[in-house]
Amino acid sequence: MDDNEDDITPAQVVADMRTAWHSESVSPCLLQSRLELVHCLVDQIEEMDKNLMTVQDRTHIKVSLHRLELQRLNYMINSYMRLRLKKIEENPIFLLEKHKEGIEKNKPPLMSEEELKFAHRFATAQTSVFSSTITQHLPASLARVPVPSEDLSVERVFISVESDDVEDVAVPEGDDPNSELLLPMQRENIYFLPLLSILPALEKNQVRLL
Amino acid sequence: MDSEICDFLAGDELIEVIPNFTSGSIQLIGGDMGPFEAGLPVEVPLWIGINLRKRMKCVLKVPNWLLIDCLKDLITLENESNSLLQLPSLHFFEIAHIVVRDFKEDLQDGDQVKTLIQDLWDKREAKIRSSTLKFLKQSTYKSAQMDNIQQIEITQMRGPLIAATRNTERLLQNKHSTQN
Amino acid sequence: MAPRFSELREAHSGGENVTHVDLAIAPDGKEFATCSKDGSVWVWKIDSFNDLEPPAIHEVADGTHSTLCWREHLYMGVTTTDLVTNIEKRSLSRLSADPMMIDKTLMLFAMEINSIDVSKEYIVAVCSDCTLKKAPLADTTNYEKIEFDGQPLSVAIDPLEKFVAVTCTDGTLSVYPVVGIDRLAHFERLFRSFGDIGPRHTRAQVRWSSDGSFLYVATQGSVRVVKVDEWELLNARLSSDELKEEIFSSLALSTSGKYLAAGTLNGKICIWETATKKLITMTEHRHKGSLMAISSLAFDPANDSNLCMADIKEGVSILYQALDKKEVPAPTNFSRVQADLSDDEDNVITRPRRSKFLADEAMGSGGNSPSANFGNEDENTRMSVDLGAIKRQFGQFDNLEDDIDSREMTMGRSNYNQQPVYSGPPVVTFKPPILPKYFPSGGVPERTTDGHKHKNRYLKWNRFGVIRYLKNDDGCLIEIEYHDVSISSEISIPNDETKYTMGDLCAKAIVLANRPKKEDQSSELLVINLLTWDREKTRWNVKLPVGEIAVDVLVTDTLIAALTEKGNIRVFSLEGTQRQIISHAGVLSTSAAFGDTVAIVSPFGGPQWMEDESDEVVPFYAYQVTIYDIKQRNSHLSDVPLSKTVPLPVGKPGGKVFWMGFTNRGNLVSMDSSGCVRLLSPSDLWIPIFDGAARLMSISDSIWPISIIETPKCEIRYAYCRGSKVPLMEMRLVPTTDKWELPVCDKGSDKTKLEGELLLNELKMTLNGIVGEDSQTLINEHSKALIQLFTLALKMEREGRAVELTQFSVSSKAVQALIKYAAKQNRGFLVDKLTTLGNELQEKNEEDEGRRRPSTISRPAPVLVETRQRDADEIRGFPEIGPKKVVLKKRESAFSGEATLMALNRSRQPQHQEDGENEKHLDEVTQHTDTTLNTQAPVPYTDTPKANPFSKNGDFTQPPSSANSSLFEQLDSPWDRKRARDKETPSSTPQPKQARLAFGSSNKENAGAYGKWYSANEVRLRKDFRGEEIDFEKFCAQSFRMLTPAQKKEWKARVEQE
Repeated sequence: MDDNEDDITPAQVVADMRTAWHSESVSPCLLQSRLELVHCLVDQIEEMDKNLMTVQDRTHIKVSLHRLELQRLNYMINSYMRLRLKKIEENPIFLLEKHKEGIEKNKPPLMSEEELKFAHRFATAQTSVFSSTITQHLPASLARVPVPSEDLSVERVFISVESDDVEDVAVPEGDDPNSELLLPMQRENIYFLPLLSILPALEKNQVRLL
Repeated sequence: MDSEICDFLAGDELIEVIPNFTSGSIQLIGGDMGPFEAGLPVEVPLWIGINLRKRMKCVLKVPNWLLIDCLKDLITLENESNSLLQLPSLHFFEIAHIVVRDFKEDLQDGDQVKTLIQDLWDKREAKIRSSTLKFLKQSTYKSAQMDNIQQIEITQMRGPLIAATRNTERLLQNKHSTQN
Repeated sequence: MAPRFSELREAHSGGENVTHVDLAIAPDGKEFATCSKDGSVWVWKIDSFNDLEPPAIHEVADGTHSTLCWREHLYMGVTTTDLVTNIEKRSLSRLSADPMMIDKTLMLFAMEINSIDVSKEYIVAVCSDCTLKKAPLADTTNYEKIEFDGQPLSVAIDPLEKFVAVTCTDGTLSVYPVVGIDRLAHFERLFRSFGDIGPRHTRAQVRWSSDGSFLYVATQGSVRVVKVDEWELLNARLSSDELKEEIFSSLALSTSGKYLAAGTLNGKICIWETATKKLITMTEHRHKGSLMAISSLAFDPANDSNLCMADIKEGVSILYQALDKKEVPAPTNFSRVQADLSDDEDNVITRPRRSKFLADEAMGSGGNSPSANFGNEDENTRMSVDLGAIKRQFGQFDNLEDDIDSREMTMGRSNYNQQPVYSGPPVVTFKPPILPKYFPSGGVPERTTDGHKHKNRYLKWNRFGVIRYLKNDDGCLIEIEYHDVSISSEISIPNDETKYTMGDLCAKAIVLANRPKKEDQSSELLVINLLTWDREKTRWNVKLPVGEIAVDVLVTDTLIAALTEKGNIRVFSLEGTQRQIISHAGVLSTSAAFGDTVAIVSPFGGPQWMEDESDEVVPFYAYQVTIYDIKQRNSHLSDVPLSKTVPLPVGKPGGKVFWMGFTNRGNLVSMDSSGCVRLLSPSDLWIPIFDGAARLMSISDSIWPISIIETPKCEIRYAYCRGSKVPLMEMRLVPTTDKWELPVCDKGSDKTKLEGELLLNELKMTLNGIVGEDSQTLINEHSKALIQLFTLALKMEREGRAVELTQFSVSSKAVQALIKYAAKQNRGFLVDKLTTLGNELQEKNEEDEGRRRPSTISRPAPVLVETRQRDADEIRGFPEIGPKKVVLKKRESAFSGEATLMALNRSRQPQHQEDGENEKHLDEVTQHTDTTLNTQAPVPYTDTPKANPFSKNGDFTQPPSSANSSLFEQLDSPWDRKRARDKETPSSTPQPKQARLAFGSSNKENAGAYGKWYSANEVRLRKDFRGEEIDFEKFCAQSFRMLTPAQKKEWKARVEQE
């Protein structure tokens, strides 16, 4: 509710958006949706645009600076959306499943409403293309296109530790998959490690991807 | 993520410029800056600085760490230690590059600065490369700690490194699955 | 006549190389030849040498070995390269005279030939490969070779052709027979041995006397004499005391044999009379100002007085009148013998009075004096007193320090009749202190403290821009650059003719001035008026009357002032009309101007004396500043004094004024030499507002003030100069900004911070004036700080201090707040005290209001603040654009997000209150508030943090806008009941329960009463209240609360009546 939430300043929104975009661009998997930030920023941009239209003196330096900022924000937002959509396109059905699982577990949503719709449509379109071209010609037992699952175990990422007192992260050893190595996490440490080991901390925003 | 995005992100870093105009403060979405007073240094994000410079409306106040003496010290320190040195800015190389390119009139001895930065880059890259190779040669450790590495350096070596580690991981998994 | 040099001619490579140059006189005596390393022989005519007749240059070989000998034929060491085999050949060759070229190669050598000598029948040469070859001229293939330990330097055949003398780099001198290789004599350690031959080392030349009975060799510190046949080094040397440190290198014997000339590596040329071994003259040779080692010498055969010389930088010259001594007026008791003494330049102590006493002294001091033998050796020397001996004699008198020693000797000498010797501290004539020179405030003076001139300097650097004075070989230039390019772009003025050395600039005009060079010329002013109507004529000049030399020029928005040496202030209007001429009493020290005011600092009274850190007694001056109010209009109407003089504090005794200026509101500020900046308040008190010394990182750094700002924030802008007192152009400095800081004690604690704030606030209030624009804010801030101090005092259980603090309040509101707080703390006794005090203060204030007197000197009107760019923005219709406030929408928010956002947006916008555009929104909301109150919405009136001074955090730093927004959030959007209900939960700042309940309940009951009361009293309330619109509601609410319960009942009753 409103009480728990401090009124957030636009500057903070921009900063959060930047982090979200940065993380999304380096993450091998789709991260949770932060589309509310996008909506917010779009709002801001439109408002600012309107304001700028009303200004008489078009040549004033402030005008150009404002416009430049809008361009930067636009770029950031667009890029963010594009990255996410690209990831969705790669494997829409799987992601839809993942999204549903996430909701059941009460986690924050993986995709926003619009993205869900997009995923649905894309998946449907994909299946229909497949069916019209291939699957309908195949015998029933084969008329299935498997949904590739996501194997995050091979992924590694760079992370930077953001907050203090993060628990040590357990990284499996190469030689003996049963034993683990504990890595101490101190602020400003930078690690290169398997994604799965760091996923919990990532979700808690204790580390950020580089 | 590529180096252009790094450059873009570096654009948000703050630098000090000296405007030659006076104006009230400007409320951008990303924050407030100003007021601008002619002749007085003011902190602005790098992208604003570049824009103002292009319009000949400001002069850069070169950050301390881009002065030749400081660069030389950094290089010495980098030489002395085996691990990577913590650089004065998270976007050290990007900012240096932009300053040398867009603010070259404000920089004294731009050529020397360029050479020193290049020197520093090479040293760090060499360290990173050697340690990466060592890392890839072994399979015991799946993680590595690389404090003080810069974003742009990560970006540069991410591609091959990730591809290599994916493969090694797969091989390891195969190995373990066959062993069991 | 003294010996004088001819013009120095540069030979061979023109002085580019440093190498030995050998010199030989032609057999006919009319010319001489020089050779260096470059393979050419330059032949100079002696007679026409000084007429700069060009020499004859002959290229003879690829390289020459800096050695030649000219008897009948010219013999040289040369290097030739065989064209076919490309092998270099070093040979001793004979050259024909005309054309000058090698006609016969006599001997071949492995390395360079160092020296050659030729007699009638023999030739000898020494080479760097440590060998000597000698052969009869007739048959040079039949040579004898002698090996040495070191490289032989110089060789000479005696006139009787019996002996050959050789010196080597190992410091030795050897004599061999002309025919035969058995060594006849060997002398060691004549000079310091060295390794490589070169122009920096001695050539150690040897010369035979014309009768062959003596051999002279140039050694270290003297020219030594060897007696032939006995082969003994004579103790008697050719030297003198000054020459003991010299390294003699080259020798020359006059053709008459009477004189021997020697050159040293320090450029000295000494000439002795061989017979008497007396030093006749000593001259110094300089090549382009610096002493240059002599490479070779030769006497003019025709005239013993002319000495040809060449130095190691290939400079060739002839020393004329080499034998003449400087003319000295001989005192009466001088004998002629004395007159022969050396007369060199450094002859401080060279005039020993001839007296029997002296001669005896010189003779007979026994073994102490090494020159005793000298005297004994040669009868003639009895009369020629060795200067060194004399010095030494006198030196033996005393063992005091050197300077006293020499002085003593001087004094002793000059009055040598057994006067008592003066011993004591050096007598220094008293020099009375001179008044300090004028220096421009904000400009770099011409000369640095150590005395040398700045080449490029800032004529002025103030808050508008810089004026640079640039001087290089191309000429002189003045550059004027404004910080804000919208005022003007950079202006460059060539300054070769006009030679401006002073200047000032402001937003409207620039002025430059010069000092006249000659007596009958006058100072000229150039003014560039930037904001003139007349586009064509932006510049004008004026010449000050002859005799009025400009010392400084100042410019403000309304006038231009030129200060002259005579102490006159000449005022011109910006367009060039002369308006005032005022004389200033006192020596000008520095000055500043603002608006219609000109302030001049002068020293006051005479010098005062004190001991400084090094216990020296130094003079210092007291300073005073005279402030002139220069009326350009209606000066005839003014009969009040327009000038006042205020003493100027300069810190510790001994301090000086470093800078003076005005704030941007027109108050005088000055900085002393210790870095403390002081502001002259309108009540004529000097208040220190900034301590520059605290900012310095090292002693050699300094703060250089650029401007002091009063509005909008109290700041000081300065340039931090590292390692220098003034900013130098090379340093490319950037101004730093700092806040004013009164030097309160104990900076760390909260209490002193608050005290400092209070002081600063009070200062700002005085600066602001009684009815200034910011008075209400200042009063509020003052009250805030005071209340905080009060609470601190109570925390520390210092009730007395608390009571005292109440006295310092500036508004009755504050007093009431304090009383309330005390009441809340249940300090009944205190409350009573405070109440009585409050009443007293109230009465006192009313009295004071009546008694306040206007100031006599009108302060520069606050109107003279420069229009800020923001105003310019608004003029252009540029509204303040800002982002709207944001609420992150959750996925399924309970609220209609849009509505919320809209409401919030409206509430956020009042933040930009200067903006007319948003005023309507404000009114809307205000009215909204009113209706809310009237319609009894069940919303408790929670105090905003701003109006709540009793919150534990004491957090007053939220800007009014955010407080407003929370207020409006609470009161706003009546359609959003849910949110309203949420707001009922207590907010973070602790509310005094009492207050809330009181109002809350009264609100429920008295909401109507309030409304009634409000409408009735609205006009009065609005008049009473001064401040922001937003605070008005609170003010009304508070005022309502101040009513007694009886009054409230009354209103309530009234409502119910309706």
